[in-house]
Amino acid sequence: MASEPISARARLLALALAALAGTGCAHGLRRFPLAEPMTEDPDRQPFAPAPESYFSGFYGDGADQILFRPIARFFAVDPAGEAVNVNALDEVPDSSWYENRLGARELSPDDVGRGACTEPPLDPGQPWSVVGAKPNGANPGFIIEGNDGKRYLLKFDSLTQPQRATAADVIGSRLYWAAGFNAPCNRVVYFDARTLVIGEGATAEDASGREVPLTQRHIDTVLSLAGTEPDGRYRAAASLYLPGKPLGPFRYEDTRRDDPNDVVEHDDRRELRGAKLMAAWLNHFDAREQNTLDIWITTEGDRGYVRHYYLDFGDTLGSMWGIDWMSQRLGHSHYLDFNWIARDFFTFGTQRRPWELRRLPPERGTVFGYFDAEHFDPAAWKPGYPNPAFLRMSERDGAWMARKLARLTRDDIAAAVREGRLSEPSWEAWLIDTLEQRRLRILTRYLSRVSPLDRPALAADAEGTTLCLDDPLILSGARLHALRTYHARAWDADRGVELTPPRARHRLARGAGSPPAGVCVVLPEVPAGPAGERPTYVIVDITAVTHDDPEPSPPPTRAHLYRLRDGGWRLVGLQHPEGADAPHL
Amino acid sequence: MAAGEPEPPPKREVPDYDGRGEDPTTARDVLLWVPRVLVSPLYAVTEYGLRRPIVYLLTEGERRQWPQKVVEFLRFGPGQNAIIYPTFVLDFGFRPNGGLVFKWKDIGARKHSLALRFATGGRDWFLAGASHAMPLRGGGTLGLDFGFVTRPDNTFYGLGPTVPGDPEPRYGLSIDGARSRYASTRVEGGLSLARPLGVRSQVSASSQIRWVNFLDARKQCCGDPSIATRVAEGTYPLPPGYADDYLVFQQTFALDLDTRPPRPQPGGGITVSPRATLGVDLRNTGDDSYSWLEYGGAVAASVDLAGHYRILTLQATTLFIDPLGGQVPFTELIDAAVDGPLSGFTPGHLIGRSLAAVSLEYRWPVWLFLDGTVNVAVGNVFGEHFDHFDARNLRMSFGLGMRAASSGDIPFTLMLALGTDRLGDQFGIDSVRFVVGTTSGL
Repeated sequence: MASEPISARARLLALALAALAGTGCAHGLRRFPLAEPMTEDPDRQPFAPAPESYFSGFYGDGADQILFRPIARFFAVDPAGEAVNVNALDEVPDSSWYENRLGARELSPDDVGRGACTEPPLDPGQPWSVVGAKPNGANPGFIIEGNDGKRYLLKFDSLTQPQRATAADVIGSRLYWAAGFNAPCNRVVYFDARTLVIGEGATAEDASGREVPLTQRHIDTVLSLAGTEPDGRYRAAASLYLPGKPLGPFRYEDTRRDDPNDVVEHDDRRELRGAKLMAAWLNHFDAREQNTLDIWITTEGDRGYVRHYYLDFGDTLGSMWGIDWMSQRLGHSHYLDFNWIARDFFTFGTQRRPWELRRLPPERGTVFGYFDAEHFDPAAWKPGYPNPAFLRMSERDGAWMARKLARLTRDDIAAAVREGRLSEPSWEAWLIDTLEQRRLRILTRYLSRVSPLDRPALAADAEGTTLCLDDPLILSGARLHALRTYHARAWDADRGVELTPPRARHRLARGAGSPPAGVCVVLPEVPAGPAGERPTYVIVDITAVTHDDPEPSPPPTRAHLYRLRDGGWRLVGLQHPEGADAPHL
Repeated sequence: MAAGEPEPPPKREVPDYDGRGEDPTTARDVLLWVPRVLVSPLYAVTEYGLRRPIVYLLTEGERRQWPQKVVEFLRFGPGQNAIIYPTFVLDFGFRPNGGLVFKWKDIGARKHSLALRFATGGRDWFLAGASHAMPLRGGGTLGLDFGFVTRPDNTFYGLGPTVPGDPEPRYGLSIDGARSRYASTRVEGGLSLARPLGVRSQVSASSQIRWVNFLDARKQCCGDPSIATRVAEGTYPLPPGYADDYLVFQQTFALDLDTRPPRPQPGGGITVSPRATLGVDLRNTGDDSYSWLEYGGAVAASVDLAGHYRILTLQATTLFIDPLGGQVPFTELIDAAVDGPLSGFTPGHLIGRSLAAVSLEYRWPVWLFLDGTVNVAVGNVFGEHFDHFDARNLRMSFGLGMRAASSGDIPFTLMLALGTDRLGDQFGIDSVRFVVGTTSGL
């Protein structure tokens, strides 16, 4: 009968409308519970058996990320939402992936300079036993056993960029570690060729990837590609083997099937998304899964958990390729970038692309390639090929990472750079300046769309209870406090009324006489409810405004608090909305 | 997971990180299901039919070191400078073909190179070639080349702007009304000598022997009638050389003067490329011999519009071919698409005794190894020494596409081009050409 399909369609339509209507109230206020925010994700629960090792192919992953995955994901119609592992304070809890260091605890420049290194450095006065060698390929190097009985991976610089790759591997590891990621202990070492001795049963990888017995010829081949210092010594980056059993790289999407702790899709993990800005900062274009490592950490018996590391930062700080045009594009474009190809093709070359303006600086030649601050646009930065987590980085994920970076001081950066042991003082000074300027570009971009205010704390003073927050743009020097003002609004969410605007004032970093570091807001008077009622839910918005700033002010930071029946306050949530609308009470 | 291995422990629950429970469903979440359901078949195909199996194969291949084994198999000599790459050409109107190219650098001696190519377009369509280049003392290169191609899909539309003896210009005919096919086998080999004159200039000479045989005249291909059928219908007379095979010796001298800087340096310059070719029939010497002299060349001026490889090139091309005694086989005549810049026409569409064309090409970089190119050309082939030259007989060609940035790279081309009727006619689109692939391999 003709009426039946119509009826079916009508039912379907009614169902859809009902579903939509049912979602209509989803914009109401979502309250945070009266509870402590989660500071640690319990994802280090021991389990057995250990996960299987994962093999990641260079060609397979490259082809997938460049070609196949973008096509399939397009048809999946799965636009990125907000990251999952974000606590009530808009922060990432500590986990097997990430540890809050900057801002969460005192971190001195010495700490940053030390990074993950807890052991004394290799002693070049004692023999190092070479147990493996890779004389071929783009990154020739050795595996050695030091006089301390530990294993290290020795990697060298290219002849065209002396000292860059080794310095980059060390500096990158320090800065990633300081930002909260797990990174290995990498150090620059100088040694004499006689320091290297062939270890028992040592092997080398031949041109086809097969293991063959290691000979002096293999060692000589690697060293011939390394170049020497003026005093005849060799310079290398020594990367200490990570403790535990390697399980292969982690993926930037999905979860590890055989790890019961791994329950958040990796491209929805905030720290992996936000790591895009770390990669952009250092131009870590080679931020692909092969440069990560999962390690099985045994806790008792055969039980353990998986810890996740970033590895190999040797491409950062201006790595150059054999093809100069490719070197100019690194950071601006994927290796094979269909987006740029289409845009350049259909605009007939009328647009001059940023990489076309790149020139090698005469004062440093090729050492740091095209690494600079002048041409750095953090929002437009691209890795060598698409990274699934980076692709889903939201504005708030970027702001989170920027807030972390804002807490690095110039002294911290200098301490990390010094670990690169660059022989030319001018290179060191230039690198510190360049990193600082690139960092400021990240901060001004990613802390301008959402509020930078963070790390809330309640305090009591003569005026009453105050809510104080850090202003990372002031802390980092990206904005002058003299031009910065703050405004606050407050609402009683239970009664659905706006309260008298609280007074906001600059907060000093360490008491009277110290520089301003943020804002404090005197919490408003809230009428207490009758005895036996639940605590009152209060929302406070604090907006930071920079005078004479050409950029519009970002929306406020939104604090969620409970006014307790005993008159005290409890902070339970902090948000960084992308819009300036008042809360939907 | 292999049988017998313990099952991994069950996953823990996703923590309630912000303590507020699951995010509520929004209207956006619901609405997203509409396109999601609509394109779900495409998702299933691309994710499970394409992505996963291919990536699995690639990854497994790497795990088992297949790439290294392939490379190892292909490596020769101490320099290990061999490369193999696939070729494919899709030129609408012709049979698609695919094959392989092998190249070895420094084979036997430094700077000696050898290239081999094989391609097939199915039954009756085969191509094979070999090229060996050797450096000469004091600069220059000595080349040794061999080529073989047999194919049934060559096209022929008639000769020149008018058919001799026929007052009706053949261009008055529609494509379908003029197109015919012929099968041929071409075997050629010879020596070439090139000496550089500066950075991008060179002088060259080559000697070749060529044998061309036309296969069964009644044979049809690609749904089009054969030349014999068209001739029997009176569409045009029998083209010269079609009745017999021919064997010729060909001697070419060419000069390429090019003031442009080598890539990647930006900048324009002038190119002048005169050339002359003498063809001598090795079987016959009388009035019916197939001997000819071809001469002419191109002059071009290029300017880099922005200093960043936005190259605009204006080029004028003239070519003539004159018989020396007898006739010139129609397969040796000047082709406006092959010898000239009228790329909107397929090879065989416009052939004649002379060519006059002016083209304007703009080229810009779109990727490391690819340039975008757009060009417009006006010209045509004519009779002897521009016989029947008339502005109304000119045609235009428009092309848009991409091609390899450097001739040293794999010569990839992606092009869509249009060819028009004569300017004196209604100036409609007479030819559409789409080419994608590695257009040559040697």
